[in-house]
Amino acid sequence: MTVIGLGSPFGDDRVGWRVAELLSRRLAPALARVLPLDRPGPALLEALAGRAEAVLIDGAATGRPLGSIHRLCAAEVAASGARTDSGHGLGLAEALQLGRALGILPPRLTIYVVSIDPTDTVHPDARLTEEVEAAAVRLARELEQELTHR
Amino acid sequence: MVMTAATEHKTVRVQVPVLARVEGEGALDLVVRDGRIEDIRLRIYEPPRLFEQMLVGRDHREIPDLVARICGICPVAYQMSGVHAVERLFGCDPGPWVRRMRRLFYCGEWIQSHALHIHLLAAPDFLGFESAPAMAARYGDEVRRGLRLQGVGNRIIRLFGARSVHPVGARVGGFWKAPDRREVAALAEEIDQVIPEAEALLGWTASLPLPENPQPFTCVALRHPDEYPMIADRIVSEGGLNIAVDEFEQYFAEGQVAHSTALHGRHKGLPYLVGPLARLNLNLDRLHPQVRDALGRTGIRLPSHNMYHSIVARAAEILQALLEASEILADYVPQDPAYLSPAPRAGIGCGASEAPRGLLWHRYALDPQGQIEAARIVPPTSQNQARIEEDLRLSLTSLGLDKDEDTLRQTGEMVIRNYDPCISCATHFLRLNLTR
Repeated sequence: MTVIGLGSPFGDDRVGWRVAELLSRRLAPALARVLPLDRPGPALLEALAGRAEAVLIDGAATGRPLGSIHRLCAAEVAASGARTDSGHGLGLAEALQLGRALGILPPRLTIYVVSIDPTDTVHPDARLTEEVEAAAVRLARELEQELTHR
Repeated sequence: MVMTAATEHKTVRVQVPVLARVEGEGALDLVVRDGRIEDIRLRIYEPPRLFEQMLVGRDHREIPDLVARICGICPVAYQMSGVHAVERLFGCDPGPWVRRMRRLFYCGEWIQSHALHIHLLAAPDFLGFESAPAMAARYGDEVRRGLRLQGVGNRIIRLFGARSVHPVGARVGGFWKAPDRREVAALAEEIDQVIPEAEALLGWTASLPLPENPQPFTCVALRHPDEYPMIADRIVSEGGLNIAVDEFEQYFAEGQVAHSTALHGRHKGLPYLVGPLARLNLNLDRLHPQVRDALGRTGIRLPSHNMYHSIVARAAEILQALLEASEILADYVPQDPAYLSPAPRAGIGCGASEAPRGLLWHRYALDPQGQIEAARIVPPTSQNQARIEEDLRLSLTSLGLDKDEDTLRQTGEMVIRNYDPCISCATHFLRLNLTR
């Protein structure tokens, strides 16, 4: 099992990293490989290729309540037409589409999206907003439970 | 399309609110009237000088860590320009081992960035695909090759002790840690395996249906006494310019334009080009012989002022970087410590290096304790913006402004993509429209 926290150093966009950080503190290493990835692009595909199972966590401006958590499968994200503003050639949706086209996605892939406020992603190293931090804690706990009791 | 009343004049407004397949986000506004371009504006959403301000009051030793965050895809370039500026001010030469390691570090980034651009951003254009995933279905081997090259580039960068969330490897005076010998050996073997693939890639890019579109413009790049330029002290142009990096501001001006927060670069009042094609045009004599031969076999005449040859220039630079990396790794010996700690000096330090996208110039004003009083960073994309707009004007006019909106938009996007503009290095959130 591979758990990947996607993000960048800017404010609420760190939420994926935060979840990865909390999870790696609590989870026995034998249960999962936990990685943070910075603006991943193709590195995401490399981390996923050949794996049987993976979980991705990312922050996104969904228009839903701040800190709400949404669980999706790869097909839903790929089809969402998400126009990523995280640049560098390959956002999450495109990466998954590409992975599918190349036949390298893990057969079992779950994506957790935490709703973030896009205006709170401007400053480097800024802290998470309260609701997003709370969501990170909640999600890390949920994942720990799920992975420990399989 | 808006028809003005009672005349045969036609005003076409083409707005591309979000450019597909360019780093980050940008927009193109085009107004055509009476068969000519009345207005053309490339809108670039770059944060206005946020990082330059953040650096003020910090210690010079924080520069590598801070500037690495400016660009998610070229952090090494930002670190290299930064340490170069500081070390030149301090009169510090970090020594041949560090200089060689920096070259290796930079090779990793060129390989990684260029491989991504060629396969995921540019090639779909030339092969008539909407996107890389669509192209991957038909050209799976080529895309996989590109991703493999990208992976090699990333692994070179990670030799220097980088955390997975951004390369902290470089510091003023050298590197925090020397690459591990076993990792070096493994990577050296992998690099030797992919060199033939990089040669094949170069041939492949040259065989793509690249439009013929030469234009007059001046190329600008760094120049080194014997190396293909990555970090160097002199700047040259096709117009005969040959200056020290310290003189950059006297010859290259940035102007603020209303519709963009990025600045437009001008030299002698005119737009100019930085980037792989410019580097290649100005440094053909510095190429590794294997690259020169491979380029010779493509039949493409160099120097070239056809921006569509940029994809070939990128492929050539991937091969160049792999060959250099192979040579550096072949005789690798670690050095401990992997850095010097130069004493700070007050003054103004200028430095430049060739980021994947072109010349990246830094200037820092430091106080006697080495605290930053002022910082100025001139990225390659802002230097190219005036050239991009000029290119769009010429290319779309030559295409025919009576073409339909979709055709104008597609051509505009292809023109822009040749420059591999990194136009929003700090826009970081994923906009996801969730329907349930």
